[in-house]
Amino acid sequence: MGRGVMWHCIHYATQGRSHIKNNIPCQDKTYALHKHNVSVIALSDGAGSARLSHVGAQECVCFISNHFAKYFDDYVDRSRAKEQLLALIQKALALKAMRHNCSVSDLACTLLCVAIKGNRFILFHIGDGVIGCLRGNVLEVLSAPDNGEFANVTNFITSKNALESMRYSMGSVDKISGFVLMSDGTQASLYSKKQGTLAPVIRDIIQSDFGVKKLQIGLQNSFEKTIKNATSDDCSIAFAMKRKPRGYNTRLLTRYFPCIKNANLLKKMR
Amino acid sequence: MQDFELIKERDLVDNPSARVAVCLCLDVSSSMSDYNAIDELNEGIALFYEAVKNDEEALYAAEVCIVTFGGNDEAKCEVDFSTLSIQGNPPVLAAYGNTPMGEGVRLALDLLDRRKQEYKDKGVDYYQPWLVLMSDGQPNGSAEVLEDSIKRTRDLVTNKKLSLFPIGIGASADMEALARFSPIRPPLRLKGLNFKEFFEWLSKSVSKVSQSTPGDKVELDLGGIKAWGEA
Repeated sequence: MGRGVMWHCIHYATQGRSHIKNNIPCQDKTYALHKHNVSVIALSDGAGSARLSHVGAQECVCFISNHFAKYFDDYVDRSRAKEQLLALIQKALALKAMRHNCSVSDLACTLLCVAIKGNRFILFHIGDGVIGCLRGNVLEVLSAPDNGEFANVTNFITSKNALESMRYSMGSVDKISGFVLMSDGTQASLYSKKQGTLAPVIRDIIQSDFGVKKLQIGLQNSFEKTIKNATSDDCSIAFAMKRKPRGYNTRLLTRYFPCIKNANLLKKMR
Repeated sequence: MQDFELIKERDLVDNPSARVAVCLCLDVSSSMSDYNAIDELNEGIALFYEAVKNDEEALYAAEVCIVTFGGNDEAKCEVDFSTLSIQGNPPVLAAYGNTPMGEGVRLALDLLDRRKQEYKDKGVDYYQPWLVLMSDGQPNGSAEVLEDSIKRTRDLVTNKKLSLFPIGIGASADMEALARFSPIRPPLRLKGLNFKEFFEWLSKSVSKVSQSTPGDKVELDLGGIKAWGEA
């Protein structure tokens, strides 16, 4: 994979019904950037009990995205990368806590991130939520939710055992056409807990060749009209999708626009 | 394009709601017929069922099981675990016989263990289960079973695997025996026959748990406890 390959990134977070009802800010935060030939997507879910977890979540997604954009190469084949990365994120949170005159535990949140450069990717995950990818035509779960025995228990960046519970790995993007991150709220709709699999619609989204703007609008509408109605929790998602050559996937376009059968009309849709 | 959606309802995975298993382990010994305690208990349970059924979250999350102990040292599962969306009316309990508390708790713990295993097998998320133990007298079943039940309960509570609510009914309740089950939370004595107030509090608490997400600290409504319980 050459250095020029681009990844389309789309992401969205929405306040859950219970948070709207109780006037609590959306604690799910997402972020994406392309910088220094690195594409990064990150997602964080603030802990319900931590009073400024939305601030912690925002800090985490911004920090890890910018950090990987700047220092991606330093993490390739580096020993103790896990420890050092976690220490840096925790330091960033400690500084944030000082500015907000709160304790670090007030900023507790999960963190999911995929950073891609050339044909390498780095995966980082603490807590619940899911990281998956489309490899060839197969949806794969790269990192499953980390819950304890009970549904309302997970690990956070600020947890004592954050390092032990952290999932960190590197891999090749060969045959991978897209990555997805989702929070536990979205997980309820797009991840089968019983089978440990992603919903097939994730493949359709990654394989579609709509432009970024259209994908972003479609994602936003889907979350506001469908996903958030399936749970009371905040919901968020982030995709990184390999840029596709110009062309039309008729099967997928007719899936989204079943009334349109004419290929010329399909071309005009773009 | 403004109405365009990538994901439709048909695309969603059908994950079951995370469950809160609530086992009511209730004394139905003959003394429960004094002062109409058993009738008040029945009314309280009916109110609990109604309150949970009227709660959108709890209806599909709370799984209720009722175990009674009484009769001739008998423990009985009156209603096995299921959500109230599929349960019919609550059972009407009758009071008679002894107070085999150890046998009752043993059955309750066995049923909780079995249910948790079923959740795991079916990939259903669940919250920490609740065990409500209510009695108006002294345990008089097998001493060996009682000791074993106390140990099992204490271990689960200590390891944060179970939330236990031991509640004494009336002046003759053996609060010391109830306290032996509970290493963290001391037993409370029901104020008079305030079963309704207790079950109202219970339904609200279960609803709160069923809406909790990772990291949430589910605080008990201490103000609400004052309406039905005293130390």
